[in-house]
Amino acid sequence: MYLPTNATPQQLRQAQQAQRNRQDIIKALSHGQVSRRDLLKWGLFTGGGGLALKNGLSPFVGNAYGEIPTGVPRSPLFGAAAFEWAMPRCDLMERKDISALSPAPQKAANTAPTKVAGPDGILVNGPMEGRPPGPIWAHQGWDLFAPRVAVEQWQKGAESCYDYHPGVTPQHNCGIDPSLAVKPCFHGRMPAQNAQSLWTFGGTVPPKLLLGRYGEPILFRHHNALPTKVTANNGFGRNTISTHEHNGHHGAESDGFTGAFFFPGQYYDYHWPIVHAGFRTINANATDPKCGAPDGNGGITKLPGDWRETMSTHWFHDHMFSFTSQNVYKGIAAMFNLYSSLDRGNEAINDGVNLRLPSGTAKDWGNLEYDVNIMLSDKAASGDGQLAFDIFNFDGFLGDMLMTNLAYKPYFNVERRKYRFRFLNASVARFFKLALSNGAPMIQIGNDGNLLPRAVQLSELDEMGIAERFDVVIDFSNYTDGTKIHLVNLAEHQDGRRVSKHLSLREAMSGKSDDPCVGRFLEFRVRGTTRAVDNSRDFSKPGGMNLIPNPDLSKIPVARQRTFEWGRGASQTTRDPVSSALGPWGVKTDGGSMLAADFGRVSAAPKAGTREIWTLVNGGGGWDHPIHIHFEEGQVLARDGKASNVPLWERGRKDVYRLRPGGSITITMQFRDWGGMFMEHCHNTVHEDNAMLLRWELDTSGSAVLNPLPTPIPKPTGVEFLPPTETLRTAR
Amino acid sequence: MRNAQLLKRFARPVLVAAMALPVMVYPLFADAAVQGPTVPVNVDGSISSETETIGFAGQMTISTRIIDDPVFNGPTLLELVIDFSNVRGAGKASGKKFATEAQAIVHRPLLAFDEIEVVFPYTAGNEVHAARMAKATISVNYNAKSGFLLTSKIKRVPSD
Repeated sequence: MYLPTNATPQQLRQAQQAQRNRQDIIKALSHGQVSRRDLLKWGLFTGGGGLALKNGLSPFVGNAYGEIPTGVPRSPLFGAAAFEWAMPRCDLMERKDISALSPAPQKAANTAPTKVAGPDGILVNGPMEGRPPGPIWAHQGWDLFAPRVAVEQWQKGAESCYDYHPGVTPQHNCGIDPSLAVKPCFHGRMPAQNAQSLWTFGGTVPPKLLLGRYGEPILFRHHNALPTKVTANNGFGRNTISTHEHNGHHGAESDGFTGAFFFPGQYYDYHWPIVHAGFRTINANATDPKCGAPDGNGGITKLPGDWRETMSTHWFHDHMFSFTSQNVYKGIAAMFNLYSSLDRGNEAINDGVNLRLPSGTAKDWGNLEYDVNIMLSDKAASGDGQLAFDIFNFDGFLGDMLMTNLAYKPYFNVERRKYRFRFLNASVARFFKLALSNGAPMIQIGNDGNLLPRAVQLSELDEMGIAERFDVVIDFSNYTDGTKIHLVNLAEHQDGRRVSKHLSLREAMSGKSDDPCVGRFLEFRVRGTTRAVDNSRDFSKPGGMNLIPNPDLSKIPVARQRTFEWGRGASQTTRDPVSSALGPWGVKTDGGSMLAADFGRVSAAPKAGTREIWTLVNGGGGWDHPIHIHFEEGQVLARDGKASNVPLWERGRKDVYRLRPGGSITITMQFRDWGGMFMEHCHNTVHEDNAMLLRWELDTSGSAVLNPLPTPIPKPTGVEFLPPTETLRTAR
Repeated sequence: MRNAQLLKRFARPVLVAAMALPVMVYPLFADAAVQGPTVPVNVDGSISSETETIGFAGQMTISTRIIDDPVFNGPTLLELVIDFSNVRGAGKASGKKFATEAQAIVHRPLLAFDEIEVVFPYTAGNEVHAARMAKATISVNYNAKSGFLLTSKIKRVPSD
């Protein structure tokens, strides 16, 4: 797909022209000047949703000089070479006292007037908080779990970072001096991103990381400080946002519902109680220390709930309806570590509960010296080095520069001991398959947000879908000072539909792949003439691989079984100008029609307190879909109908389910604690934006008591509520 | 039509495991994917390290699936799910026993012949801290009439 490095000048010129044509389309879409319906009508997209196979537009058709596909021009590297730039640690979000917030947060949305970006960027009077007003979207559990920590973030365009807080000393951050300004660039030789190209939390790089603790509810105040003009976006990205706390077990009002977006000039208060699921009925008297949190003094604060529901690694990202791919790609993504009595981020406290995973010892909890968050993503740049988004069709966007914490092919210094790496795939459509260049084993301890019942040792990790997180321990203790080991991507793409081929290590490192993101992308440099002190868990001891068992759901009767088939050829049955999407992708629910997304349509409505079994089916063999179900985690019961097909690393709890080409997956979930409207969608965010999303809801729990729940339709002047456009016959 | 072609292709898939008897397996059918046979593939090979030579024996279990792409008419995909848990190693000098529980899932374009390399770790007992790695080279011969022929060799992993 990307042009080879030896492309002729004619090929390059043609490819650049075609790319400009495509970018004009994206720009017009992102500016709201045209709709997807218009593009179909004009023949720029086919009825099947693909980019029209026209010379001068599609990278997949032959160019004017022959049958060679036009291709896509490679991103300029400005002389940047691999492994000469340090991988920065994530930048910690500041945790403040709740009293620092002004105005004070409140249970229901604050509708006091302020100036909000209206059409064409003209400021109009609107509510200062973008959360839908009234009791339905009031914070559930507000009194029970009153927020204790405030985190305030401004979403804005790129700028230099003058207050970088990696949470570790430079020794553990490749010598990076945090007192120096960090420019918003991917490599020292590359130009800084401008404020219209890159939109991150705080406007800065490296990406942000939030540390949270069970039993310590967080009020996340998210200010939309993006440009007021929708056109001030360097050709892609939408300035309205909705922040999804991925894997969060919270009320729907704090989930980042795709239709609960807010405008520049507004903020949105998300209330994340950080509770163990089942807190209302299991261990309700909080007697079990395994269900707890670090108390700050080496002890445990016991909490109600099921300790088997403890979670560890989340992330949060934009979920703006129809623009998630562009906005997440543009930088609206951050990581979130959750600490508990089991996973407390202190490897030395040996109280019989703490799993003592590699982390550090200086603080009671949340040590990061040997616990490293790594956000992986692929990016592309236009000729001037600014971030660029391209579409080839509706199948998915691929970049040609692999970023690690938004740094291009960096290095990272490690000591001679065990490290924990929390990998996140924050790409739009790219899957990864990771291995170390010498084939050395890694111990996978977690999948998505959760630690596995039993760790598994692998030399090649499984394919990692978009939004999946793999929590991995790597032991560097046996290497000598100066050894260099590389992290290698084995998953070769030709397009955004699926991985075209899993390469062997030898093939991936040969440099022969046409996919620029295959091969070595992160260099570990081992430092130390002697082994470093390592107080972390010994996985070799009897039981050393055992972590957190799954909740036992076997005694809970199954209330319903549902089937969701994910495929192409979707039709739209609704016409709401805000909530209805148009695109080739869709979902068949329980044998119904393949429907394009409408966040006003209720496709499933499980009853609170029940358990269900859902089967997710890939409607075709030519693609893969990483399906994310919001709010509740699932346990995988079967793949392709068989329990024995579930690999060892998928036998814990998950929230993203790769269907695999032509495959299906059966999961079970229980629905409890909170209510409201949630989503289920493909996390190939191009698919999601092109209508592969549905709404499901829980309507009898918490404060969300209406049936059916009205749909929020945000406007700068305030949120309107409309009845659902449709409720599927099989929903209830 | 597509299913009819697939049916023809897999009506009598025969998989010959290395040094094993032919196995006749009838596939299950789905819209886009056809479950192929799950078969044991004998393991053959040894790895010489600085301390001793470890001989490998046992069987990998490999399940196969053919995934067609009727929508885009893209290349047909082969899925191999490889379970190494029945592969055993033994130190020729020490007699030390080695095992693994590794699994691997590999997707490749379906070719008449393909050689697929997968690296897996193996350990003595619980000694995951001292795990070593080996490379399984799986040769896949595919013929629409006769199905698959799979053989395997275990080799040392070349250093980076």
